[in-house]
Amino acid sequence: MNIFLFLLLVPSLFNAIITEQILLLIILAFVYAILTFNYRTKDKFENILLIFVIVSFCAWLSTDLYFSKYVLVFSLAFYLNLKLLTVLKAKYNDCVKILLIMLGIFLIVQSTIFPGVSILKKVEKVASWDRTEWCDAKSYDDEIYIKSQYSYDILRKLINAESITNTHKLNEFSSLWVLTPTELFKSEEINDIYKWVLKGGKLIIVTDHTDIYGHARILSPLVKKFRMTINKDNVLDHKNVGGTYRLNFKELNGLSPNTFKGFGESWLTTWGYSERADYGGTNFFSDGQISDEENYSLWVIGLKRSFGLGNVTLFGDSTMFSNFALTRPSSQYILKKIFNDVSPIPYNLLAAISIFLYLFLNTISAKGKAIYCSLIILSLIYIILPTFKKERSLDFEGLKILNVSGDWNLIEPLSDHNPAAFRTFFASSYIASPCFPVWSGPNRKNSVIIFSNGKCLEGKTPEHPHFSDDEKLKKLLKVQTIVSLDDCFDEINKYAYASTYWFEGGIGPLNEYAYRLFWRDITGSSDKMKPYPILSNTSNVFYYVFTTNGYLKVDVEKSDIENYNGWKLLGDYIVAKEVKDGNLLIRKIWQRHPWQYKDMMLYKVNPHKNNPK
Amino acid sequence: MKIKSKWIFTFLFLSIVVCFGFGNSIAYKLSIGVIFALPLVDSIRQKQITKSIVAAGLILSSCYCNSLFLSSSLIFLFLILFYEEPFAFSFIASRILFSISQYLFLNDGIVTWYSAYIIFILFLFISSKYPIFGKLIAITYALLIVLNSFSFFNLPIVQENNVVPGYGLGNTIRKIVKKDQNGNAKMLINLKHYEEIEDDTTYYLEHDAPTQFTDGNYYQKRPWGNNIILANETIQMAISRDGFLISNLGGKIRQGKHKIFMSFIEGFRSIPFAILDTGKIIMSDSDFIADGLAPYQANLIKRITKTDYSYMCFHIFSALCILGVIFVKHELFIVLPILFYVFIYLWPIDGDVRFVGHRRYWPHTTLGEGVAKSMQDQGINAIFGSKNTSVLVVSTGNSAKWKNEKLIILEPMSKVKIGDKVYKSGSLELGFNNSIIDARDISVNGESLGPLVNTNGIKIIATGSPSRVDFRDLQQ
Repeated sequence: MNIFLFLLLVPSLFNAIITEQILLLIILAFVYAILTFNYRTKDKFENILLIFVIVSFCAWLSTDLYFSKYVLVFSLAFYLNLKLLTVLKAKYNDCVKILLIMLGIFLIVQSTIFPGVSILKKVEKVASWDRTEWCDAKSYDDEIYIKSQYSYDILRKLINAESITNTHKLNEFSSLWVLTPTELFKSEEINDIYKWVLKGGKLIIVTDHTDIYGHARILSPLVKKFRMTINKDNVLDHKNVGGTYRLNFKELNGLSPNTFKGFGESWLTTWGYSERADYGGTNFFSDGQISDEENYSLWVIGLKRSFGLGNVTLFGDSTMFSNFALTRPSSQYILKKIFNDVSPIPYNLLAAISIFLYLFLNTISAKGKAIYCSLIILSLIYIILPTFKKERSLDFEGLKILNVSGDWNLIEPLSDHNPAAFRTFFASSYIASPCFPVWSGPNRKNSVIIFSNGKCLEGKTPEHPHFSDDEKLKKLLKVQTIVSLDDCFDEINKYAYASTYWFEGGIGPLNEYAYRLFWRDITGSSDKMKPYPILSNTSNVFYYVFTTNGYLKVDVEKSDIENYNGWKLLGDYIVAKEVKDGNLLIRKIWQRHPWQYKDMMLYKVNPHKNNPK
Repeated sequence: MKIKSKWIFTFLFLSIVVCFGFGNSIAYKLSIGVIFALPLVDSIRQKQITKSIVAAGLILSSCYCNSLFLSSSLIFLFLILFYEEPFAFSFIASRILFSISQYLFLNDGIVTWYSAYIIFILFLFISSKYPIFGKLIAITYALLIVLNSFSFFNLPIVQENNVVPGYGLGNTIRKIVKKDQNGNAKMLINLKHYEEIEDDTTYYLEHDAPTQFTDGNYYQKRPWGNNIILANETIQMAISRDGFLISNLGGKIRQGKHKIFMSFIEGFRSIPFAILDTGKIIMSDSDFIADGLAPYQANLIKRITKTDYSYMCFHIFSALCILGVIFVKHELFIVLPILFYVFIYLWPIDGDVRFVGHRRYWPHTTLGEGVAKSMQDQGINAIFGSKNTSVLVVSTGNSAKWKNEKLIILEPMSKVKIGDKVYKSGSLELGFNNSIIDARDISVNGESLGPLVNTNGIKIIATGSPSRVDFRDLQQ
């Protein structure tokens, strides 16, 4: 028994069930290490395998180890294969050799880096499937709010994708991007895409957590064609912040992905707890708590497989490619990799090499040795080949860009100890900056961000701004203006360090103006700047506000913000918007930090009187 | 060479078992799995049929009744029958500490896994040279198990007004143990001032409760099922039958000398969870006995209050087997306790909700396991059981036979057989349908019946979120 036989079974792990593959490899390698160290004889080897099978079986039955069922299946398969091979080898040595050669060649062809010969046009032309209500690609230039944040406008520009809504002209394209579709595919469309992939098309499917808006269900018939499955889940990491993704040997910061299983090779993984979709929860999220309900594992969140002459790539976190998240260096890194036909670790080819090496060492004839040697060289060429491939760059022609280098942790921390000082600024850049920041790296060391125009940001978080308001709502609304608008913007800038990158429901004119000021300073440009807010028509007005004691009448100092239609400033820089019937809406997200109240409404007329019930 | 390798292998894995997997149940169970599997492989190779069957039986029964993994007496019986005697004696010596900790004032720095390991190493040498010491230790442990299984305390009810359903203390306990709890009890939570702990009172501490016994708050790391609680084997097995100890954020009991009943493992330290002081019983959290959560901790509650009579018999029986096996080494001494345990484990118990599935009873879920908590939160005092139940919950991928339940809740892709008909639930999400949240379709022989079926006074609901069902409406 030698290591080549062991490695022979490795590809069966990776092709049958992808999940937890690396862990399995480690466990099996560990077992093998024990064997080779202490037990050299065949009997002892089998003994240990048997123990392993039994222990896995125990763990599986006790349901405590999620991995264990896979460990059991594979160790059992390993054990039986070993037995079978020993018998076969004794009786039909030539047949075994032929089978091994066939297996090796099959593995080379199955490898996702096998170049294939596409019969489609050689020109790289990208299509994006646009029959979806979710991933719109409209351009939003006016305001920062949830819809503009989640637009895939910049992504479509970067990959230079042509929008398609049917499969009529599919053969004209070399790649097809399908992002979280919300409209069902017709069976003919699925067949068309399937045939197109067989002919050499590259299908890229981007999904997201918890089957949100039912996209995973819609995609299921399509991915099933390629023997792949989209799990309707969400991966939580230890600290319940964006997970750490592993692309080959690089660590990247992610958000909330879903997982995959099925045939293929994983190119992106993450450790974490898989939480099921809860169809009664908001966005189908479950409770977001790590508990005994979740399974801890190494999850596959990027899966790729060769199919026919083409290939299929799955990626489980569409949010990474939305406007606000695409300024994150990790997002750009992943996007570049997918765009350039990402190469997973070549498990299949390594396994093929080990088979040929085994045959090489067990062959006496010079002719046989030459054949195996050629096959080994061929496999090695395939492994090395992608390193010589010229990377296509993303299409920045439609965008003004600003090159950025420096510490990625200042934008997207790998642990929650890092404050990620500039994440809010970068997340707002898709609207607030006239230039799109393009990252180089990776780098997570020097706590500095350097822009190509010479500007520099240091990652020192300023002290938390201090505010003395919020004691009582009534008092707060009566406070006279004590600081200038410039001072207010300074405070908002400081708040941005402690803020998040979620801009739900709009951030209000003052926050947005502060972010634009920041980007104007960085880029040196005055494009995209709205007029400076000026206050006018300051007056004291009575409004009614709901409290636990009923509706209270409050005297409010109100000013109009010029050039920002409908926006008002109350007292000490409380941002409000005039809505129906002259009532004022105050939203938490529009305010300076820390606003201790939730959203509220100031009524022009006492609602209680109108509606005594 | 062969013997030496086996000895080292056994020693390494047994060391992890002695140290309770350093507080991690996965490490513990994997190690005990190896300890159980090694003799099985040997006996298969040597064609010793009886030994093979016994070892395989122990493995399978431990997998089925997870709590057997934590039965120190069974592990001792296995070690003495299948391994060398010093391993067995030193193992049981390491467990004595946790059996006596509730009777002696010991520093909590002593009652921890590394102390157990030191004792293990020490006795490995002693019992190798003087086997009589080993035997004496085993006899002492057998007597202590009997004492442990008879020792108990009450979990008195705390009368709190203005408590929303599910958060009260007492009603569910009364239903589980089927008798009133005597004594005084106080629950301390969110105190603005320091409070002196009095004698003759049971204290349920919660977070932010400064007393002479507390030192801040303690948060149990999640997932709870991965934590091993330090206690005597009767308590450990009871917690294991429940799946975990329910305790989120409680008062942290000050380090010092206590009679320690249960404690958490935190690295090298142990953090007391329940202590018995002169005239006082102090528990650092009340979650596990709160009405909404007590149905999920029924085994521990019964053990603490000494109302799990069948399991008491098991512990006494296994103590007798320890005494027997010291003098006559026979496989029957391990086979009989296993059979007895499996028998009482399978014995049906009265309750309100019958859950059919293989998942843990995790309370804070919208799936079927959360039904008892959901009912408690809605003011219905319900506990889990397997006979005389009124609600049947069938989890995904499982099938069940109807046993006179009035309400049947099917998770997606599950089945229930009523008479000749098999009701199946589908997987397609139907949203809010027929007043059911996250509804699924029910079908009989391929015929769709919608998410709600009424048949002969039995109501069948198919939903992906059984815990979101409004049970008050259905009760009416």
